[in-house]
Amino acid sequence: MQDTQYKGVNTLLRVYETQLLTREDYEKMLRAENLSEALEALKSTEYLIDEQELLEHKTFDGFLMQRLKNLYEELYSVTPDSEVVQIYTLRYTYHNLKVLLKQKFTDQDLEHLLIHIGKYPVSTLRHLVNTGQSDELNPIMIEGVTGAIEDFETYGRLETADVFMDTYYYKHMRAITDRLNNATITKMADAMIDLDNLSTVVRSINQNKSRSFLHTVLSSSGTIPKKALIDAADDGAINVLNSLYLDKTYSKRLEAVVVESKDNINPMVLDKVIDEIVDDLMEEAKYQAFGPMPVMAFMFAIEKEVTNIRLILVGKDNQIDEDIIRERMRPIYGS
Amino acid sequence: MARLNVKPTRMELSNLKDRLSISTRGHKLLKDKQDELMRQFIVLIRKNNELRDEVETELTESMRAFVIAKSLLNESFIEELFSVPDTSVTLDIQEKNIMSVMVPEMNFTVDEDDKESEMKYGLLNSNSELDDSIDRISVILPKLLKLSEIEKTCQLMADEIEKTRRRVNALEYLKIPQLKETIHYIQMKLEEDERANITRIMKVKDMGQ
Repeated sequence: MQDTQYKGVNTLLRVYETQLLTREDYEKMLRAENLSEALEALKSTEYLIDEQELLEHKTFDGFLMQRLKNLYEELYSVTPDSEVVQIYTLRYTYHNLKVLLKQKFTDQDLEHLLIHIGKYPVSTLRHLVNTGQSDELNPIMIEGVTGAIEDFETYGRLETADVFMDTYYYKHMRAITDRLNNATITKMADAMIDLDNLSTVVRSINQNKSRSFLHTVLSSSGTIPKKALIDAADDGAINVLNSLYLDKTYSKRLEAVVVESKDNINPMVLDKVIDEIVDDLMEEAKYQAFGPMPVMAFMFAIEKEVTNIRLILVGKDNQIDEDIIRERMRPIYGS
Repeated sequence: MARLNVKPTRMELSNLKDRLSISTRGHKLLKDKQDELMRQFIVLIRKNNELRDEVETELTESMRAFVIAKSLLNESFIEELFSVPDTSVTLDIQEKNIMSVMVPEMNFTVDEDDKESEMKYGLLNSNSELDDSIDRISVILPKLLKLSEIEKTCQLMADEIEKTRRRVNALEYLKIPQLKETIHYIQMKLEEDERANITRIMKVKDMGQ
């Protein structure tokens, strides 16, 4: 795919970027005394909010997901290669597959948990889960779903849906980035998968999980072999970081994740640093007119914007300290 | 105090004396029961208050941690994580007798078969803060269940204490005084009759002389 084919969408995105929330908008929301004031600050933005409804029911995800849905639909229609957009929407697609699989396994009605964002409509995913076949969907996704169903039918383990879908999400993402063959996107996927693996290791160690658990949940789609991660994890999270991550280009950023006593990793800070590292990679997109990077950067920016808005609104609604909200804020576009 | 509407006969007097004796014994027994119930109730209430304070403090902190954790994630992601519980807990309720109050004794059994897997929920759409808050809530859960047992016991015992107190009061301030007064009235009446009878006999005897 020629990079020049993205010139149309990239021009459109430059306009959309001006609609993203600025630091001033966030400051206004953060300084708000209560939820009502924070919502007031959102009124002048592109988010369609019904203040009364939100104050009454506190269903913040409704308008946030609507905004994402509209943007992703538009991106799918204008982006020359839909797989670029899929890198971000895969998370929702695999979430929907988990919901549909759990519905199938337990006969529960979980329809309200489906998120209608993604390249394929929910009906196509439902067909795959019900029949184990699809002509439209990616073979990796089909393999993941049929594998999960077979495993459940053999062993009756309900966690199968989570294990298979998490694993195949990373596999699918890796397959897309390999096909796109864009250096920055590949770097981003490498960083995301490797760092998600590090986060998984830290969380597993903190919860005293076994080696076999790590073997089940770690992804093999990163640049660091799963076995090396599991072996290093025997000597603690800090050993994993020191022995496997110090040669990475983003290693400087990882200094922040080490706790004061230098013997462990703060997983909360790590989650934030992962986003900061991806944000660093997106920096170059600001000056590009061609290629898929501006689309990637915009999707990253809008996802983090939604996270930040949800964080502030939930925080204001529950009288959480401003400092606690601030330390969890994800990167803001243009800052 | 109104006396009972009975005929002042010896038979009635005997019946009333029996009733008074039973009522006095009953009153003593009920008073003892009330005292013992109160003693046990106070012990339970103290325990209940301590446990409630402990659970409320921990629960508030855990819920706060959970709110912060979930603020970074889509609500549907979180609901999906917990849509299928990883363990099932069976509740077996047996009744225990405390001073004739049947209180529940709850036994919670965690299904060990379900605990084979270490995976409680998917790690992709969750975060470390969610792990911590769920762990904290899991730690509180047994205390919360114990609290529910103690609170229900306290509630049942409070009802029984109230009922016993009414009975004790009814006996002490109504039944026993009524019986005593009626017995006194019948005794007076019978003595009066006796005196009238003697007087009548003496008069008859005088008339014969």
